[in-house]
Amino acid sequence: MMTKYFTSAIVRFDPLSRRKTARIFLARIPPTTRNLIKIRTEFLGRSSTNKPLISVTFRDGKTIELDPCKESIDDVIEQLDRHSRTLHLQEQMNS
Amino acid sequence: MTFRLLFRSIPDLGRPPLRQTPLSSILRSLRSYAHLADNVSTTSPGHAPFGRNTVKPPDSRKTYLIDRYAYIIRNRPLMVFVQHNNLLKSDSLQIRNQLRKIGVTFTVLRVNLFNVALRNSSHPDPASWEAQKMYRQVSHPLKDLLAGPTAVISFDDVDPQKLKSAVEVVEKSGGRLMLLGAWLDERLLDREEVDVVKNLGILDHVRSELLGVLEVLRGAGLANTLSSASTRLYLTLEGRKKQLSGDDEGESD
Repeated sequence: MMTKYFTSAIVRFDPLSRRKTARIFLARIPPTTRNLIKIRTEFLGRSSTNKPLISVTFRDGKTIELDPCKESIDDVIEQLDRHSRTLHLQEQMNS
Repeated sequence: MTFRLLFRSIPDLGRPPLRQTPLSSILRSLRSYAHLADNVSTTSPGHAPFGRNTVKPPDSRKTYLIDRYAYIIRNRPLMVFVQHNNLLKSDSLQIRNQLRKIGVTFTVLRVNLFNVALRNSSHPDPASWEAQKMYRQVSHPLKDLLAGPTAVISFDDVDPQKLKSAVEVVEKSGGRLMLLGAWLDERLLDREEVDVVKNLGILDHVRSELLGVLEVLRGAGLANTLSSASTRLYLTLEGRKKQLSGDDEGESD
């Protein structure tokens, strides 16, 4: 996963749910970017009514929102990387 | 037979030694175990050591880990499960030190092996073929919690104070550790329930409070309430006895 162009992320999930996408997503963010990417983690319990969410904001201001209950970790990474690659290309063309 | 005894005594080595036992004698006993194990491997190369019929080789790391996890599962009344997100060596050391100060153990798990240990923990030898066959279809309630990088914080006793400070360490780790749930009294607790448990009083305090309440109530009929059931039983039986003796008298007449 290309995390270079992330600026912030919101991850909301239920730890006891069967889908592990959100947990694996959090584990894939490297520790060296801890100061660069603002990550907000929210936990859902039995009483909460919010829906699970992975929301990533990129350096150009674009936000991608995904539902970790419906998509696998590979799909999530694919969709995020697609935008990261565009940003990477732009950066290379400008330099 | 000796080998079986030897095998049984191995999980005991994990426990802290009794205070009365001098260290030298423990070392000596350990040495004698090692000596015995040497004899086993040299004298009977065809047989598995300790007579175990395990799925993986008995001296493999997988068997060792399953044994270790089974020991934790059987002997620790409270286990808190956390996800660890890419701990650097320094982070890991810091967290382990903090948790050690509280008096709890932090173990990073290999989740598949932990699952096997959970599933088979009611079998005397969780790593054996027999256990594997017996429990292959069983799904443990903790299974959903165990995926990806998971670690367990295990407690020697159920102490809400310790739990509270351990949860504090987890919360203050800044995303390095995330609390997932806990296992207490054969029951899975979610985050909200963990919060409730950590704010409970220590069992002895609660007991003394209950005693205080009972002391206050003693004058106000508590003794009567407690003894009323037995008194009523006595009266009923007495009534029945009278009735029966009355019948006898009636027949004799």
